[in-house]
Amino acid sequence: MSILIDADTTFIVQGITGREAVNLTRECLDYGAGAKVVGGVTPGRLGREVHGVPVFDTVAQAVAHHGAPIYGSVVTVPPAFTKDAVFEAIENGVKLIVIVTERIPRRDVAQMVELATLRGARIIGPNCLGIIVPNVIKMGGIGGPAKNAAQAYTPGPIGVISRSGGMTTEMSSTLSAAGLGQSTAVSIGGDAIIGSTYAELMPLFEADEQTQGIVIYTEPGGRMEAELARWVTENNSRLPIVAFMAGRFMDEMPGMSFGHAGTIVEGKEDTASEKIARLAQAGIAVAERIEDIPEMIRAKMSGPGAGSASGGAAGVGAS
Amino acid sequence: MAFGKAGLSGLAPLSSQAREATPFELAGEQVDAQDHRGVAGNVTEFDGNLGLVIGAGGGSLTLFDAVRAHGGKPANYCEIGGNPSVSKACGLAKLVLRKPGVDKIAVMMSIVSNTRVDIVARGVIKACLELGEDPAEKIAIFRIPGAWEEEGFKILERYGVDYADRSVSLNEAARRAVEKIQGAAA
Repeated sequence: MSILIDADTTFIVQGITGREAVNLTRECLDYGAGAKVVGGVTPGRLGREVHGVPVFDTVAQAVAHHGAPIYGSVVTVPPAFTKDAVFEAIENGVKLIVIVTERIPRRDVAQMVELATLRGARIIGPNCLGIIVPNVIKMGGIGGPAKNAAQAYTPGPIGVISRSGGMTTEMSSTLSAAGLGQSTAVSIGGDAIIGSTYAELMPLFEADEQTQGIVIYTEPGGRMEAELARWVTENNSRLPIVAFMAGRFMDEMPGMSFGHAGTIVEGKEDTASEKIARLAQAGIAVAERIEDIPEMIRAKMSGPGAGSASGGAAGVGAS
Repeated sequence: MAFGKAGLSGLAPLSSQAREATPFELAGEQVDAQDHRGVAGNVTEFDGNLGLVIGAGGGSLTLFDAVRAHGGKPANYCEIGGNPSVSKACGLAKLVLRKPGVDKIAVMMSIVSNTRVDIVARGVIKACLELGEDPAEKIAIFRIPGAWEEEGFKILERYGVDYADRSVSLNEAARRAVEKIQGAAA
């Protein structure tokens, strides 16, 4: 199985007539079994088609045309209009919203996440590449054109969660090359506030029988890793986790932002070294090199701690 | 992995405050602003001899760490991504190549899906040629796998540039770049 999406997931693309959105739509239609992209929305473009997908002025029109609730939306509209687009999706019954757009004001993101929570919807991103279930479906630009995505992602037991879109593919490719496929890979976004954190996705992977281990990509900045460490400790997770921490050099450069909007060291808790210590305390092994990840997760999956609480298994394979 | 402060002395801010942008960094902003397609910027100046043309967001962080872990001294940090134009990639590579003290550049990214390998390859080769330099000499390594890589690798081969595909890790690519520049300096 997978988390969040499967072969039957229906979704729309908001902002579908934009250059990147046109490409993204093609990629999703081509990948795996072919995504069910049931419509696109760009105000003023009713009646057009993008790769055969009908374009509407509003989400309500797309739902009416589809004749049934639409599960998801990929939002690619400019930052100033993203909040309105997401509100519109949520109010029209969309349950899963992947926000690709970068540089959305933090205040808008907070409001979107708040409304999603109130309405029982989930946001992935912003500033993310979306979700991929290898050989089945992708929702968003993750992995790029179908042929490129197929080269990097293979089906298997590993759940991947990453703050970097590109590194989701780099790590999955490394896992695939080592014979470890992925159950679902999620690019969660590089902003300071995002709709779904590691800890918020863990219960989904926990409930997914296919998933036997988790690999995460992390960076300095924010409290997400501390939250994950707490979740793992408190929930007696069956899933071993290996993390890769990039941006270690930033510990020496407080106040400067690198990589992503949320990647900045503003306090001691934000540093790579602090996060590594916190993750290790929770039994999460932290890799220094990406090529070490496959052996580390394999050791954890077959090790004495496998299948039970991951606490106490720290340092396995930490060569 | 040792992270001594030696590699980040000089221009890197070691205080608790971010510093003013340097002229080199401002020039990087200009390169990025020359057209709206993609990103080739977010330049931060350091005082090493290995110029970096790297991306994307997470890849740049990973690569900068890897260069330092192998004892390399980066001349800069930067990010390319989102499929920049040839002229933007060229502009960034030229800026880095012209920086005093830079002996070679390493062109490296995590697997790309949106950015095209061939466009970045064209950009960095053009930068070398326009400065009257031999791309095979100046580009320590080119490690960008992904979209349009066959076309990109063909171009690199034509100019004799050392390149690597996805079977070479980011860490290994960084190691090779550092080894080359240390060999050149010795």
